[in-house]
Amino acid sequence: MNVMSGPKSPYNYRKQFKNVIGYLYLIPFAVFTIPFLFYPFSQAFYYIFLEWDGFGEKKFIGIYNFIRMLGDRRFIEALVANSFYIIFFWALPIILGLLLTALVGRRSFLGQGIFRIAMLTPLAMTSVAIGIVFYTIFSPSGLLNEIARVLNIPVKIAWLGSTPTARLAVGLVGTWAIIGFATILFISALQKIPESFLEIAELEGATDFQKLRYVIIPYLKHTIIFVSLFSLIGALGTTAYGIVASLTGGAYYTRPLAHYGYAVAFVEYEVGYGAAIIFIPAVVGLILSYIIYRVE
Amino acid sequence: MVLLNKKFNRREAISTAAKISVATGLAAVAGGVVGYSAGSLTAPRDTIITRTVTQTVTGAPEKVELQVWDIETDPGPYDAMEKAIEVFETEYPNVTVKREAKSLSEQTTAVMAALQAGRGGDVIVVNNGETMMGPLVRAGLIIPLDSYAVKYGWFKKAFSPYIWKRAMYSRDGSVFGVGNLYAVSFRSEIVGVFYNKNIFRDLGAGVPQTLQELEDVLDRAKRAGYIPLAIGGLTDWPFFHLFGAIQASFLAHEFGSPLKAQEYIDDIVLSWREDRTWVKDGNKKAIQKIQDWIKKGYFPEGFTGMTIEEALASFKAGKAAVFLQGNWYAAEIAEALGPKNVGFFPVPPIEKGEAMPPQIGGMGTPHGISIFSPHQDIAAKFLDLYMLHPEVIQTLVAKGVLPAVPVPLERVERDTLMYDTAVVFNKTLERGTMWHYLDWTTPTMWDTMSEAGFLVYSLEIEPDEFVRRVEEDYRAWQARKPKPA
Repeated sequence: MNVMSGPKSPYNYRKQFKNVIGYLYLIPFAVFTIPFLFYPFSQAFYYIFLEWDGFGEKKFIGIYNFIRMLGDRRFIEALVANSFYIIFFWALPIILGLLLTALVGRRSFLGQGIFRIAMLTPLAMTSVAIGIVFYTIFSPSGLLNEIARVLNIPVKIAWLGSTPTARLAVGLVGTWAIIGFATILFISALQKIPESFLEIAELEGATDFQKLRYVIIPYLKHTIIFVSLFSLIGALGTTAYGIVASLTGGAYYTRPLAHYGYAVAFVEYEVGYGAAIIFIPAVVGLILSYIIYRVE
Repeated sequence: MVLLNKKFNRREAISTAAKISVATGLAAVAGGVVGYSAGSLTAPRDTIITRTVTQTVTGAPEKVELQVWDIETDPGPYDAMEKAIEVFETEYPNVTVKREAKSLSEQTTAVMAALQAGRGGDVIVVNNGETMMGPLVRAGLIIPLDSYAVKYGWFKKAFSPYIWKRAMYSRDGSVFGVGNLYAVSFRSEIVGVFYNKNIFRDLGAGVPQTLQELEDVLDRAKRAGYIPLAIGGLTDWPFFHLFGAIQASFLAHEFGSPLKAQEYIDDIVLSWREDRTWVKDGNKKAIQKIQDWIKKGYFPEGFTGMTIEEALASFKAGKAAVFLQGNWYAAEIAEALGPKNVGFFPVPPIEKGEAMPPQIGGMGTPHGISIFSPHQDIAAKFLDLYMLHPEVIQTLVAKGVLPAVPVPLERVERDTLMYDTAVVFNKTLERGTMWHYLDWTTPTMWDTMSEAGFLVYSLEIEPDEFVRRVEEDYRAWQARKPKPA
């Protein structure tokens, strides 16, 4: 065969050499990711089909762990909590971040530097520190109730210690923590929009909202997708900034799936069921990520 | 390789970065669960049954490093552990003790992970019941200490038979509270009522002899403008103590004797007996009493949003009349209010003339020996010294911590908080009753009871519903509990 026996093109060697170089670039990533992420991930996938306490005999039970979830009230509560956090940790920061971007993104104003530092502050804080700060705000003798007292509002609310308010309080912490990150990325992307685009929109009589809807958002689409994925993963894997760490038992319905799965696997020693619980946010994340890509 | 061969494109770079973030993020979410589960290792069970004491400390190899993984991080116990190490290294110069102290939750994770991999300390924390001991016994990862207990006379010198049961499991790990000894502790715990003597004097109140008298004091404290009972409802575990203490009073009254009440709770918490039930009047009445006190305003306003630390701070600041908690807070309370300005009494019975009900308490978080330890006899000698050496006991008592042995009252100053806690503890040892920490009952009981407890606090559920939830958890455990081999 001519094709098989003919002289090889030197071009192919160069291409293959380039490919080898490319693979070499991946080595640092692979060295850390394969043993510390992909291997545990595949192990966890194996565990979801087991009844296993982490020590003794492993019993293969198929998909029973998933069937069990349907009748597990604590799982349902954690799932609902996570759904709630998706709104507060993902949707709200993006919507509010876009509004803030539209308001201040292209304007110079007094205190602009302070505004940007304030926006970035949550990124520089550990989640535990955020939890402690907000605990002092939500405490019965904390800032919120103190403001209510100054305003002569005769209500002392245990924000974190009552069913109607606890989940809301934890959700707002997430919104605060992520909104700055979203806004800063949106502003930097916004500043790359050619001035002429917005001038034309103004000449055409577009309102601020129309400029946001028809010029800014389409231009920021890729940044929005990036921020969405980042915050979505945060929302699904959240441990809620340590605020709910003491509220084991899902009290006040604040416990997310990550907390519950951990408790089941490492406190109650049901590693198989715990792994299955943790897989739920992973699968939901994959589905939502796929939907986001489809939207793109 | 497509990306590398193309010209840099911002849109694709963002898209690729996002995809990588998704992949790694989700892998992290799901992969986290195998944090310490990978690589299970189970030791052959026979080895722990047939082994005998063969090593001696003096006959040990030239240089020995004994690793101690403990949880004694509070100031008093921390110092006592340091003292134990100092004395041990002085008495046995060939042994160097390498200590790693962590909080209970951190050390639990570390020990469980290490043992599965065939590693870890020689002396390790082995918390009671299904929190650690049960799974470790069933997996054969800790050794029974009975031969050492006989050799060193632990059963005669420390605690009481009632307390020792809490560190025992059947050989197959299927029954808690009987069989082999698997861990020991150098300190004891007792839950009771701390009271501010100055506030009691102001109210003209003495030490309550019945639960109703305690309630009268709370009522007077409220009318005088004090916080009657300092409590933090946002932290989950104090509920077990509040409920358990009042429950013991009601059940002792219902059964007609503290011993019969003790038998009931032993059957549930230790033996998981199928014919026992949580559906008892005493359990419901205890919840009703807590909710009555909430409705009467005996708990601080907004207490469901307060942590135990805030409650403790209010008691230490002299704002609250009583604080129902364990003696592990005694040292810092005595330091804040002065050792003679604060006292401690047992949770009283329902009616005058009834015997003191069982009080919650027991041994401090215990420590055992790993099956993988190459120095098991040396580790046992260390446990003996840490539990019974006079200098270690003295260090504990000096820091306001109850040791494993009855406190010699003649060596404690009268009218101090330490004296009061020692009196209550000694009396409890004499009576042969000791109420359990209720979260030990099943692996899920902490979760179940703390959640139900929060709802009790916020008056969202009635006593019947609380008992129903706890009973449901107990019944589920009946189906799941380890069966005898």
